[in-house]
Amino acid sequence: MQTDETIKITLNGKPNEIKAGMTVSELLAKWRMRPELVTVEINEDILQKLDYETAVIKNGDKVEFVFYMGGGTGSDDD
Amino acid sequence: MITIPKKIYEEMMAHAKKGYPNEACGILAGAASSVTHFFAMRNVDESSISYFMDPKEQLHVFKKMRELKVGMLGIFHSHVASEASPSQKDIRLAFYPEVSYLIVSLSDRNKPVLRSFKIQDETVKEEEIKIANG
Repeated sequence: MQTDETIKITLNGKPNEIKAGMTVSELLAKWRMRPELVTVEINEDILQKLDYETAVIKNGDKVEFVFYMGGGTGSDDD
Repeated sequence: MITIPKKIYEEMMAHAKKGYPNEACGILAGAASSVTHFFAMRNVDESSISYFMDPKEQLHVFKKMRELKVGMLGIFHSHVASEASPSQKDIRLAFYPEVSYLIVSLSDRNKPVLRSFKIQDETVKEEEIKIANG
């Protein structure tokens, strides 16, 4: 549950402040990132996409995210 | 324009040829459009028509770039049997509008053709590549 409190995290190597109680899904939504296109790591552990809804970010967490990097000559369905 | 030292250009070509007949991929890093580092990445698709970087390896490289105080300047991959221009899939999956997307065609493996593009909101603009000596 989110409150008016804030917590300090490190996001992609930079200090950041977010509302306490935010889940990974809420954080991604805040930045308009589509969860299916992003890999998220918290404190060196890569999260399963299924856990984005329930994983609550805690004070001091080191959060990293990267976008999908792929492509190639095949069709979109490959 | 993106500037690539000849040594790094050669590393990129060697990585693409080593990956053949599959597509190969990598990340270019540096500052102010000048490439200083090339990270050869694994194509987890192991396919001749697609590439997908391992997210774990991506995260490792992103941390390494921060350590080196460089930024990501380009995302590189090979097309093994088609021209060096972005496919619809490349365009649809281009999520870093600020970086260059470099594609090498290995249609003629003795004469690889490298081109670079900026891709933003599915709009593609080619940019010049300067191969610098040294």
